[in-house]
Amino acid sequence: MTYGISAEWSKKMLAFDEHVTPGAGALATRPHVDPDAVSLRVEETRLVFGHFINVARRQRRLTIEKLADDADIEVGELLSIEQDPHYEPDLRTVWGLSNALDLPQPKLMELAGLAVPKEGHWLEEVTRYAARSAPIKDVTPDEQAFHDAVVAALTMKAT
Amino acid sequence: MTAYQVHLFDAAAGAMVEADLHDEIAEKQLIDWQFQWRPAVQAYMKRLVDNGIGPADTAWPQSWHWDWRGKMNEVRGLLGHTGYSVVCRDVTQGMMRLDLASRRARLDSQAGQDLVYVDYLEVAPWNWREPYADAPIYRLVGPVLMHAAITRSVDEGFKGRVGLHSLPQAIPFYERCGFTNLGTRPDEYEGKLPYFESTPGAAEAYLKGELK
Repeated sequence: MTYGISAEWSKKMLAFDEHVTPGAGALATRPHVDPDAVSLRVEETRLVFGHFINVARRQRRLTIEKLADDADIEVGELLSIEQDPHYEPDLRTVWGLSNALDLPQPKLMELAGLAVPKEGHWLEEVTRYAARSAPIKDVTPDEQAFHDAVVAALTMKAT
Repeated sequence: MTAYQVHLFDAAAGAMVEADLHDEIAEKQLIDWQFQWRPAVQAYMKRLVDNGIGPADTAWPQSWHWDWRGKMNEVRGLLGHTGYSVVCRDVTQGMMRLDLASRRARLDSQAGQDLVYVDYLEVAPWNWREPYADAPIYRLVGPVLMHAAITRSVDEGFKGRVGLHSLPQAIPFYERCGFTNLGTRPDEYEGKLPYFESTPGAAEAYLKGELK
């Protein structure tokens, strides 16, 4: 049989080669990143960010107006951060919140999905905390633990 | 060495381009692997790290893809075995090694019969489709190599029977080739690479360009 391949066969095959790259055998291994996990990550951390800002504000007994004022941001922006997981805050807003809440700005940027995490899995850990804490009117011990865990992770020095 | 004319798709030009299928992996391929593929893979890995993706997020034991010295020795070992390579514009775009003797078919319908086993198939990193990788420069490298594996199986009298262990991210490719997925086994590649096998019917359809 011939090993040559016609242009016609190749055209038919174009549909075939659309989504993945073939590879076989251990020697061919390449890094495998799950595309779904990649796209989920920012949304997940942003959800935690909004929840955390809400808890941090209430833990400090601040109204939305007061925190917005302290952070020099619009009230509507703070509401969006706390209530809309798809809302993408801008850098200046996160910077203002980090000042008003006295939290390290670089890691708050990571939590807000605005910067790429440099090390460790602290985001996954605080995501798990967020999943366990339920948002009710007053800060519960669980929320306090979530809040403290995020603060601890935010203030931890890189190793 | 014999060279056969094949066609790849040049994505930037949006057109088919002629390429050569060589019936060997020669010194030239190893040089391309070391001096072109390897730096491109390293650049890709750096990009992953820059994006916060570390070894823990990738599905591989570290030693398999970070140990370049070990991998270089293994790639050198490809010389002298039955292999094929695809060359376009004087650069190796993909290569494959075949084992024609030591493996037997596993599918119930053909268990124990001879087959061609693909023990290595790799595409140049600039032709990868992976998260964070640039869009591939050439497409169809993989399908051309599979065409060669199946054709070789027919030539050997194995009726198109081909077996291989797929990379996890490549599984949909072999499924669409019409191969049957027999799953992973804990004693093979740490249970990470599923085994695929083609039947004569699936092989014939593939050579005709009939997609699943």
